[in-house]
Amino acid sequence: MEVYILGILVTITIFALMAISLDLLVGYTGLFTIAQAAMFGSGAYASAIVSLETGLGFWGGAVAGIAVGAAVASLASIPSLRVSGDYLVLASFGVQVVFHGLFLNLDGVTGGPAGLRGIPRPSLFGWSIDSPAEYLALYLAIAVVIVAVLRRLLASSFGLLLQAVREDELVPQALGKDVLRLKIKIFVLSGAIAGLSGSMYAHYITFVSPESFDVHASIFVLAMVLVGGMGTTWGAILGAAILILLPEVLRFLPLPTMSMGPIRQIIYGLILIMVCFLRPRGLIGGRS
Amino acid sequence: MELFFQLLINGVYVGAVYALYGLSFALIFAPTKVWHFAQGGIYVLAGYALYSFNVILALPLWAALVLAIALTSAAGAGCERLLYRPLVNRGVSHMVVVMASLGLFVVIENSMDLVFGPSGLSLRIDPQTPWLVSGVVIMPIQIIAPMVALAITGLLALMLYRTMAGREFRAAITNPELLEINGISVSRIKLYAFAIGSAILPVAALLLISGGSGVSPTVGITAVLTGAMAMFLGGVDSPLGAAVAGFIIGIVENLSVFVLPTAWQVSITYGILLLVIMIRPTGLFGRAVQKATV
Repeated sequence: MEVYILGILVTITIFALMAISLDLLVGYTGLFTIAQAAMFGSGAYASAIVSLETGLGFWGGAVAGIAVGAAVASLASIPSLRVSGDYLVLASFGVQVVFHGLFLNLDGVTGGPAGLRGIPRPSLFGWSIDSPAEYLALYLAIAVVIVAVLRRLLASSFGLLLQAVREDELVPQALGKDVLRLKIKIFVLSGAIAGLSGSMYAHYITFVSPESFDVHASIFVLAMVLVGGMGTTWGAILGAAILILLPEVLRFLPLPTMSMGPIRQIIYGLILIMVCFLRPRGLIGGRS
Repeated sequence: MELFFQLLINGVYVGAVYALYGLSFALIFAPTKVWHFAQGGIYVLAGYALYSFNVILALPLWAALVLAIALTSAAGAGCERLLYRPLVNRGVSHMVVVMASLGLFVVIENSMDLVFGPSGLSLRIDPQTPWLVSGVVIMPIQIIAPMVALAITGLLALMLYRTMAGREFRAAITNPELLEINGISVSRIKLYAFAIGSAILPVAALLLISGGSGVSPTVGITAVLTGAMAMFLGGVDSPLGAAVAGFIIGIVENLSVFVLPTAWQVSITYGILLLVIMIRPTGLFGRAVQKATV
């Protein structure tokens, strides 16, 4: 039981980081994209491949994950420089579908539909991490560092500028701010964090396959951000916690196994609708 | 050369279904500007409605189609009245509406899964004898589908451009405020948009199912994304452009088999979509663009 709970906490940590990375785009900068699983997945695959091929382990993999996540994000940022609003939603969907296709079909690199197995577990100064408690300690430490740095960054003038772009792109532009460069920067930052969380995911599950990084995964993360509250780091964390915990709680209900999956999903959907009606700014975002 | 024609025939057939997806998405999106993801759910509903009426209740196919159309238009109108309008009236952000729609999509998709099970089901359709025309296999449905799609597109074109109601509909796309000032209820037009857009879905579902694919709960997201893609390629605000773009997507997707294995089809289509959005955001037949202001 203890192992089970710790395992869930590790998963929450990973997804909270991913939700935070999406919140940078959606919540802070108002760039509505549904492609986070593409960056998360690229990071996971990059990390898996590097650690499997080179023996550099988790840390080498994480660096690769960050780099590839950032690179993919900078590609994904290109549509946002040309179009906004509804076009950006669709363009980001396009990015998501194309990358899912790459994961699925680049057999030689990604292992195709079967995925990659046997990804090494992390080690720290010769101490190998393999129990959920050790994972939680390591991942939580990483997450805390990132959240601390991000909160500093978002409280700075850079963070204010992001919010200014969200409210009205023209105003910061009129003040001589380079909005174009800002958008690329925030995409790269978001992609780097998503890539890192992907790497953490790969080395925790020790197995990656395309279905973990499909459109539904991107929607799931978006739901976390929305349920928790956009534009608040704590909101993203809370949203991740709720949406990961919820299906686990339902596991204890006396339901036939066959209908378990759909019932969970139905409840997930109903919660999304309820949040939209009752707390449209998310649980932390306050009443509108 | 035979392969080319075979792929072209397949492409036109799939394109006909895509054209209907596009038409359906565009009819709803153009006047309401709602990202109606739940349409994927309505599409799944359409498939299972056809199955229930045709197989469980043993009604003839045409009767099942009529009943399914009635059911989906009611469901579409229900989405507008019970979900989108209350949300929009509360003044929530655009994104919250999208999220609610995704939520409803998940609920419908999984309810169908819960009731009918995850595996594919087939309708009572007479087996078709394919024709063999100089080495190219043609199923009757592959001829019927484009004709049906063209007929529906033509009918809608007539409605949009030759009737008063169509004029009001087009006005609701470009200038809803002016319409409202003239005493015409925009919310009523939106309701019709949802009803008519949803009514097209059972037809698309039946055309696709007749080609041999079954009814399963997972087809929704592809349908709605393809519809959205067709609309953006055709040009937002142009439902007829969406129909044309649907055909183009179907043909390109199938002809791409010449260059790359079938597994890449979807990636290629979305790749092309990305290129079009970047190079010509107006789409093929559209006008207004919502540009990033940098």
